[in-house]
Amino acid sequence: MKNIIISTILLSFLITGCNKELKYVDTSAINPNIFPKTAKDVQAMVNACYYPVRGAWWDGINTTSERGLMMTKELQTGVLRGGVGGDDGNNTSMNYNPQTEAITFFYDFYHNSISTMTSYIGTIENSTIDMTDQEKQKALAEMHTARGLLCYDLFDLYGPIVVAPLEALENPLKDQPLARMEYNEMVNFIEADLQAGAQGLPSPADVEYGRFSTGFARMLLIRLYLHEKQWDKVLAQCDTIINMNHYQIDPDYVGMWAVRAAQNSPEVIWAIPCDYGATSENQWQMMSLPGNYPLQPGYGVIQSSWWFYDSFEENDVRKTNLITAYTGSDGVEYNRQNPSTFLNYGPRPLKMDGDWDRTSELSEVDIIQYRYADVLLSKAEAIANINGAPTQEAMDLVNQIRNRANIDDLPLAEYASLDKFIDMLLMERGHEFWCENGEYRADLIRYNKLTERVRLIAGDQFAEDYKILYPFSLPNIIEGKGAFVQNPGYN
Amino acid sequence: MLLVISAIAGIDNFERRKVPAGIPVRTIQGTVNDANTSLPIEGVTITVKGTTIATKTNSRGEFTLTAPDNSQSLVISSIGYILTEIPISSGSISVKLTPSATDLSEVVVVGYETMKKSDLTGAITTINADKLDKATAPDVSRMLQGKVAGLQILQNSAQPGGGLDILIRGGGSINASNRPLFVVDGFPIYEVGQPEGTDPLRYYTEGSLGTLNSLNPNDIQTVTVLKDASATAIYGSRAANGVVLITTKRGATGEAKISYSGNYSVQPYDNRWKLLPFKTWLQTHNDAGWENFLYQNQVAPWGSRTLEEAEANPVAGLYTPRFSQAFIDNAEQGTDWLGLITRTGSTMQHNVSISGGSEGVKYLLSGNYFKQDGVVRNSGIERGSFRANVDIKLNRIMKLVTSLNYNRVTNNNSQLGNDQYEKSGIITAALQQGPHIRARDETGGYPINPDAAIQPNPASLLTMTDKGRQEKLLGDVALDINPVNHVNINVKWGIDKSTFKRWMYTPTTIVRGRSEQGVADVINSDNNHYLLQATASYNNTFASKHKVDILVGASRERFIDDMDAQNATSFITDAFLMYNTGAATGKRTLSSSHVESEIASLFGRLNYNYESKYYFTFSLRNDGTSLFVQGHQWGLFPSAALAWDITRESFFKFSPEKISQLKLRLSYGEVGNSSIGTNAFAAYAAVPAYLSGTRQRVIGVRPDRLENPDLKWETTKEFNVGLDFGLLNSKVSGSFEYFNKQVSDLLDTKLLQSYQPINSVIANIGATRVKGLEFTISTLNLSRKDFSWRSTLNISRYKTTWDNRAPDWKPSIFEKDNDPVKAMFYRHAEGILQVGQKVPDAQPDLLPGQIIISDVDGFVRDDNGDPIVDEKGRFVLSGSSDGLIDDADYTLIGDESPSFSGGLTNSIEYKRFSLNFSFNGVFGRIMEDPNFMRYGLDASGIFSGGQNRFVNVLDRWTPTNPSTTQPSSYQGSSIYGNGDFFLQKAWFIRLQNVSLEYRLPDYLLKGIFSRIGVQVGANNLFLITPYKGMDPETDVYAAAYPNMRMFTFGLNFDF
Repeated sequence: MKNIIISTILLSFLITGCNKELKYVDTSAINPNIFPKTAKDVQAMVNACYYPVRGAWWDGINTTSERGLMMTKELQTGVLRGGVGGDDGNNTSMNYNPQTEAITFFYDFYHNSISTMTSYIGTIENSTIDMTDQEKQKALAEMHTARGLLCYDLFDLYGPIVVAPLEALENPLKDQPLARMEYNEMVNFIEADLQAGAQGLPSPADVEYGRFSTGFARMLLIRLYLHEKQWDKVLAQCDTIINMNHYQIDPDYVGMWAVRAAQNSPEVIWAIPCDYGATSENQWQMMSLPGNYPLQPGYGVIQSSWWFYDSFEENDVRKTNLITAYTGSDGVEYNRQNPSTFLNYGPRPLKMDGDWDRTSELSEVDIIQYRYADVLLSKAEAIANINGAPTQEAMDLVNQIRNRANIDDLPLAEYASLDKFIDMLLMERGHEFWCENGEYRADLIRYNKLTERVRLIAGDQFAEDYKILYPFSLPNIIEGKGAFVQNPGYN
Repeated sequence: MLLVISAIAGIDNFERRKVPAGIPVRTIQGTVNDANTSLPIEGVTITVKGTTIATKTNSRGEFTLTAPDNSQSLVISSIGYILTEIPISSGSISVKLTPSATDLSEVVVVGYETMKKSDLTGAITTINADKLDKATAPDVSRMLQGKVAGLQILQNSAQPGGGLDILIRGGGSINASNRPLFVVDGFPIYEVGQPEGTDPLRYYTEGSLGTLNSLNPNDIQTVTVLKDASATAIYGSRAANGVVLITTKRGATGEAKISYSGNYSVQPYDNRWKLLPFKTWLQTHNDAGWENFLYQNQVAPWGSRTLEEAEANPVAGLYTPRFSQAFIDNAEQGTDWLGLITRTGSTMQHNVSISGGSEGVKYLLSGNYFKQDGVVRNSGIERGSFRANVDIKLNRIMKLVTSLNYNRVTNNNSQLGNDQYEKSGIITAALQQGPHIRARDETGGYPINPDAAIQPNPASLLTMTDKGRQEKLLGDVALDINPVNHVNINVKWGIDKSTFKRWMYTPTTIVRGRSEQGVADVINSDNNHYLLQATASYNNTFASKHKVDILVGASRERFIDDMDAQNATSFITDAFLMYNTGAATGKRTLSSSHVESEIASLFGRLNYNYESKYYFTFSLRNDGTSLFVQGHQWGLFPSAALAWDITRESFFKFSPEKISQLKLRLSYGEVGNSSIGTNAFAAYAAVPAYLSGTRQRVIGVRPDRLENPDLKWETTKEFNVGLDFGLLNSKVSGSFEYFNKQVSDLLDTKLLQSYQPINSVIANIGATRVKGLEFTISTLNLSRKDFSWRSTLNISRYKTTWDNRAPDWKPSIFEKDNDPVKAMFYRHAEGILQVGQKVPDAQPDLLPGQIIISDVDGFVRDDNGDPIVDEKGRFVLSGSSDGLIDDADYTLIGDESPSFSGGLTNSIEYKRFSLNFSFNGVFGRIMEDPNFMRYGLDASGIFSGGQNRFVNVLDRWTPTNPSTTQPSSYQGSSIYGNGDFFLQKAWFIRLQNVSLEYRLPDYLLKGIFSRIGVQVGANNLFLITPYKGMDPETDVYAAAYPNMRMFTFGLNFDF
């Protein structure tokens, strides 16, 4: 009897191994004990900083879809417009509040990527990983630039945001509500990041296609300084880029959006490479083309506005891919007179090559984010503002862009006042950069013209000046425990 | 398994109980029959009163017994019958047994062991599988619906083999699984679901499937539900949500018994979705287009413009109706999309079993084939299963007990889910595709709706291939040793191996397949679960008064899961399906994973009773899991219970004719939960992050999971009081339970500050409390010659609320510390804003035809108008309306969990007929009708998306139809929301099943068959509910699988 019990107990111990640590294996995860150790690991961390700013429907902020910056911003400029109701229509008419997820999600979804970059920058700065100073400096410059880019994008939509210091990130389980940055602190923070990029990144000639260069960091600085109306700084950065003597205006405007063309265009400052394999995606053809489009049907999600189309001069090549008429796969001719529900708000804003041979919903037309034309138009704007009125130099810069679009020079005399010049310049920006990065919205805001535009396109039912800044979703307010203050008007 | 071992041991003991030599004996012969049905009863125990001499009846109800000459009477007992005593007379004795409502001598599995029902101290319910309707569904859990107090089963999908939400005593856990542990023959079952497709732009979900589809219900002998913590604590770490013990049938000594049962069911599709008829649709298209014009151009009452102003400067051109009046007048028939995708469903089942055995070897072999084709085309399930249970007596003290079960379940998935646009499943697409689109065009293609170009043609979805196949091998072998009297040792080894394959192909006939030139998806998952377990038990009775039963044991389980998947696009032909991914010319995506984890346990239990009057149980289990970091891996789970059989007290004066049983039970126990679907360790993940300048994928490493070094077991502490009673000689019996359990250290994903790179972590986040009552009563309502009627009613009620929250919990202003776990927070809707009515101050943007929301409360704000917080960092309600509709206007209006649920089963026997029917019901429930919300409310989609809608849209508010019950098509544009406007009562009582069986008279059996039965039945015959949608149980989302009636014909015979 005793023996039996004793042997059972022994057997039990044999089975359970008693105090042994139980083993868990998950081969798909990387254990922090082995990462990062090598220069290759650091490169993987740098690559991860491109991840949130690439184009991907779910988690790449520059996706050419309803979840991307471009479409969201253009929905308020008149370049694109949504119909009645739905996320697109509500955005177009400024019908949103803190519970409108399509508007609040950019912050909710992407702002912690800034923290990832902060913590990666901290890791690299303090690391003893065997790598050259040059490698380390380049890695840090790319990370700073990515962080500056993401901060700028969110700052542009929401105003100052929460940027967590490294100390808060080192103890994630501790609940530390943070306030949004002070406005100037935010601007300085972005500026410092982009300056780090401008100093530390390779020149455009030496950088791999798709990667950040010093030219790109300076282009972003231009955008930041425009936003802040720091015209001297805009001018200085424009001149620095111009003096690189690297970028040129591409004579073929339309051709820049041919399949894989951006790679070879001298004008492109930064484009996001895309492939059919969905590593980084361009799905704009599906968004912009109607379901009965004959060559390849799209999802028919979005239209431009007839107002926008009518604002182009007749010979402007830049409206080439605003599709105003087509014979549908149902044999019906759709046009402005017979728009049905396909062209009723405006033309189809294809912008780019249809990539008609693709056997995928995705395209290999790369997503062009910034071009040299922006440098020239920004310089024109800076000169005019510094002088209090446009100069011939400023007008020449505008005309250089107009000429490439196959339209005539404008005489300075007709645009001699700053207001007239700026009105013309804004329209030119709209025509030049439509459906690229959506910065036209910031351009309009800079001159207090966004609400006016929304009223023009979608009526004045919901348009209010405070809605220029998007609201933050409620969880941010709640977790902030009083420290996080909502944008005015949304309380 | 142990039940069976003990049962076998019990039979052997009977055979040893012979009359001592030298005493004069007589032989007694007789037969035992059912008093109602007159059928012979097998396995009845015949005991000579005052002795231990006993025997059992054979399959013909016959017994032979050698008894001392001076014996006076026999005691006849059998599970399910009232105990009967008869005097011994000369000649053959004929006994008629009356079925009882319950039986206390019944043997019940209690985890690693069995006990007599009368000895139980915990809250346990046993269901005999004979009583279950096995014809219409593959998953045994379906059959338990409404049968057990405290076991709430809601069907969340009506598709063949559809999924079930199973809760024992409410869901106290928040994130950690609330599913009970299923133990089949002592083996904890490890159920895996069908793997999802890996296509990154994957279109459809397959709906949920029941997890026990792989178990053949016909193999089941009993199902035992362990409810309170004293009963479940022996299963420790995984018992937090209760335990369901399933025992399968095993062979018995005797000639081979061959049984067959088969049935065939039909399930007609009865369309209850009232879509607009074609003509009405055309007219409504024009009407909605005009409404859209007026609304969009802000023509009064939707704005301040006049019609003339709008037409002079329209937003998007002038409106011309799409369909001319002549076209509408001459329109004949639109496409009946629902008709195209539905059919009469059918179910077919064959079941054969052979059992028998000798002294040395007992066996049961069974095979089952089950096939169901659902009412939605392409949906179906097919199962083939084989079981071999073999018990071998090796020698005087050792027995080998083996079970081998193989089965194969093939699912045919139709594309379900409530996603829209490109992800529209077949029902969604059929409901919303405009009737003006044709199913096929002249070239045989599938036209799409150009207004909803992204949405697949519903008929095209029938060309999708989507199959899942699970193969499961469940095998175990146990060595049972009886070295000396009173001692039993059992060592068991087992494997539960599941492989699941999923094959999907989206052909070029479907929108997505066309743009990708075909998408193939192949997924393999391989899940292995190994068990090694040893138990030793000792039971004895001392001084005829002290009965002791001790069990100790240990087990170790390992889990090894592998998965690999491939996705490929662009094929020259659809004919390859997904079987030739090598021929893909488009993108290819590969993935694989491997996870191992383990659980180790030590456990013990002591049962003691004194004169079957006072009972005491104590158990302890120590469990370790590899999911937590070292130091938190092990958890200790104790329990104790007391029971007092009052009828055995000398002061108890009632006769059994009045009160036959009165037993009070008290228990307390602790159990654990660690099923979090992840682990507590930090990790980075490698992902394709970007493309190089030459379009090569470059890998980025991103933070993926935080370590939580403090993560520990979720623990349930449960207190239970129970009372078992029997009245009128057990004609009425039942039990009453009250329980109160606290689930502490709740495992859940805790939100960290959102700025953290990983802004959530698995953590112990607080505690919930579940309080409940359960009541079960079984009655023998009538018992006459050739007629009996028995009923069992069960009712259970529970309430699950938060008990405490994490210190850094971040509530919305309307949330309170002790809210229900499934709280329903809604704003109050007052009605619909009519033309001329003052626009509420708090809703400046509200338009006529939209819902008015009550401004009930507001935030306390500082001078800048920003809300302020209290010392805990939470926002504060001002207590009065503030002219804003915001979070402060939400109030707690209810609980998603029903306030109570119940079931009623009835069994009526008349001569050779038996009629069984059971109801189940769920009460105190409110919900929105998801179908109405999507298809009954808003007519604008008819115009803008060319979609169809329910006839309800004809009642919508328009300037000319100022409805007070249904808002306008533009309610969706109101930023103030719907409030509680659309909530409706959703309690229901369902006649779950009814079946009538007729057993052929003996003279027709010709001695070949021992029994032939013929059945007809119906399932889900009717529903009583105030709910206006399709079905309050399965309307889990819009366009859910329709839950239809089913009619069954069955045949069974035994050789």
